[in-house]
Amino acid sequence: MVAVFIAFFGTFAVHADELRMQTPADFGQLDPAFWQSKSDQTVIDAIFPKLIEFKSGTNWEYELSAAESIEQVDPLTIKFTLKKGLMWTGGYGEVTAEDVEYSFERYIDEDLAAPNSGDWAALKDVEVVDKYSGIIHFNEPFAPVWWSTLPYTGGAIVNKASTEAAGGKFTTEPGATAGPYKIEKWEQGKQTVLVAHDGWNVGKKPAYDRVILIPISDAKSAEVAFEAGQIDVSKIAISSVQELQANMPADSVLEVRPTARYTWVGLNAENPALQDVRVRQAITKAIDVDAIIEGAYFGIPDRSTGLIAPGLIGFSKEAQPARDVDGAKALLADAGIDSLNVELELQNSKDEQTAGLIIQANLAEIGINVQLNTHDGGTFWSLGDEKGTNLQMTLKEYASPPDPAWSTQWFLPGQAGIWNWEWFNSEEYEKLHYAAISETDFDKRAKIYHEMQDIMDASHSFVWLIHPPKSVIYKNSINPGLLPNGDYNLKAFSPAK
Amino acid sequence: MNKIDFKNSTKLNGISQIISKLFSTPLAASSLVIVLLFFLVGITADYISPYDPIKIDIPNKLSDPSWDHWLGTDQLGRDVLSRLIVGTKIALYLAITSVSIALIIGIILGMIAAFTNRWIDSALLLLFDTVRSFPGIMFALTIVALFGPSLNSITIVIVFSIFPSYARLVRTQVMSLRNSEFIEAQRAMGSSLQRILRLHILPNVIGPVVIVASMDIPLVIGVEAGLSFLGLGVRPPAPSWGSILNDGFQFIRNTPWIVFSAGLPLILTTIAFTSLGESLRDILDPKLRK
Repeated sequence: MVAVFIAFFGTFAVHADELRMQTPADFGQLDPAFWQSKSDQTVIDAIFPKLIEFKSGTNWEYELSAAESIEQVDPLTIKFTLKKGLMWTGGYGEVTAEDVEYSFERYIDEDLAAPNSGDWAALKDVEVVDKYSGIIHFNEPFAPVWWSTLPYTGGAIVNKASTEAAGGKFTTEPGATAGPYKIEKWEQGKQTVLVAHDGWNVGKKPAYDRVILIPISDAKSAEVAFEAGQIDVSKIAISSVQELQANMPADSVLEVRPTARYTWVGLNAENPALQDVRVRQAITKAIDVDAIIEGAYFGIPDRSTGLIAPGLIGFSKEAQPARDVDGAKALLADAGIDSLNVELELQNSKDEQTAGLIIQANLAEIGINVQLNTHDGGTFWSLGDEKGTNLQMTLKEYASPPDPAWSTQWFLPGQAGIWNWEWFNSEEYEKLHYAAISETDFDKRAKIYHEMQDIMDASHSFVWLIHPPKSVIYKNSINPGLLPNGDYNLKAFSPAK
Repeated sequence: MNKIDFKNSTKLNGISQIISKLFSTPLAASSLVIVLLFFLVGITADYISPYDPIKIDIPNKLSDPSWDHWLGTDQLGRDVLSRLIVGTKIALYLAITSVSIALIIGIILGMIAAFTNRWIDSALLLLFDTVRSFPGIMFALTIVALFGPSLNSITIVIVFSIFPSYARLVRTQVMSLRNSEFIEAQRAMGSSLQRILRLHILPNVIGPVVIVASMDIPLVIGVEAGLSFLGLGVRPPAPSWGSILNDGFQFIRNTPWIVFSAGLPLILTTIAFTSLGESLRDILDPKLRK
């Protein structure tokens, strides 16, 4: 709907030196230790520097960014040296090793209680050698550090002085930033205007002076806005890909990239209606995942085999069991249940709503009445707090960098009610999670992740659906700065020659 | 809102006369036919619907219109015609129930306001004006947020949105009647207030309110379709014209018939009810008759 208003009233004029991009929502949290949504991440990655960062393209590779050099000296030690001349906004001077120390150590500060503390789970401390150099010490080997910590959002460096002055954390107004872009203006719910940061003296300057992020949650509205020429880059719903490929808007390019994201139906084992494992097992047997893929996602993604996506260490090729309605009915009968009412919480995207309708129809076949509760993004992600163990079934999609440790951490017992909405509680799983992050041998680590996924499956609290590809449409006058999973790398966008 | 002089409409005292008047103008006649069709389809929906409107048939999704599926299928392979027919039933049910409830509340409160003391009258007028002053969309969103999207929530929204108009109309009508000679005569004969209201006032005020209520039916249908389009109306998988529109909106490029299938009856019904209401008013109000 937003797009329609934009199209009608033409509030915004398109300039050649600026880039207008759709984001699924407004950002809500810019503190890297507290970020929650993809929209948060997009802005954080643009306004805060990192020692290393992922390269744009189709292969996962990282490159030096704020670091002049960085080296793993041994499994417990990483040495780094910062480039000189990277300046904070607001007169806070240069980015220093002290800022790096403060940024990383705050994750393990128990008083701060950062929800993303798992990003630095094995960190011991950061030793400041001089103004530009430091040493990162770990308590034990930390395998994910190069793939889901340093180049990811957990690697963002915040300004020590301004953050301390703000009481040790911030939400939407960081005291100082030093990334390739800085926030010029934020009109909540309408747009975020980023402008190139003069103090970004450590690498290639962004090609676009201004990037305007426009929150449009409805994918169809985003398509309309793109076709009306009001935005230059937009994410597209999977269900729209075939339609768009058949009728591509003029001067446009559509890219569909695989991601490590994962979509699943979670069943809360702590909820009285779902406490009986036979009920959960019946639900997992009754849901027709193939029909969901065909109906909601137009057969584009493959069926997921578990938490970990193809291409990542620990990916399991073992297919999930086929649908078994009779088996599901038998399990419910065994549990003494004739009929059951449950609620499925989902976001209001068309793809998810369609998936929800199929699940509703599937479970009706075994006598389970499903009420679909649709929510916008903000409301949906607060359900863990609001409903607690009253949550029953949820249809969710989580992001994942190219290391599985980042994903497995959300299902630890300590995450129950925070990100673990299944209240999945396995000591063995937790033990294996920590074993995996300190295991540097590839094969051994892969084996651990296989075991962890088996434990998850045995709980019957997870129905794995897909690893959703990300489809992005952009004008052909643009060279897109897309990471291999289709995420935006804002400073890498440039005009096509 | 035009005030209608129903006291002078007694010359058109037969339904057949009214119908014949309606059929004398093409617009009124076609409106009547569409409205009757709407009622007929709504009442017989369960019998004439060719398929189960919620049965999913993924291999047949987004099928073109054919002999098997006259209006094609949606993204889940559900028959669009069947969903449209059952959606008519839901629209009819909502229109009848919400307008009837609003009518009953409006008549009772309107008569109380007109026949009781000044303080109660003033308090009720304040209530009517306060309720009417709520912004409709905000009120609807608040109710849906509080009670969740459902037919009951929509009914509450509609009842609260329209009953003050009926109550005010009834109050005005009753106040103009209460001192009339035939009412005075009833009082002199010792008739109770309840009897006077039931047998002498109500029959004289019900006509104009019913006509106004009939003109609110397209509003009700529009509100239901709008809320369902936004996902705030009837809970899925129950079909509604608004949710069918929403389903079709996603695929409008390659399968536009879904949007047209739901949009056309919505437009036609809205126009027909409005036009029929205006025609009835013209027929029954001699002041407006040319």
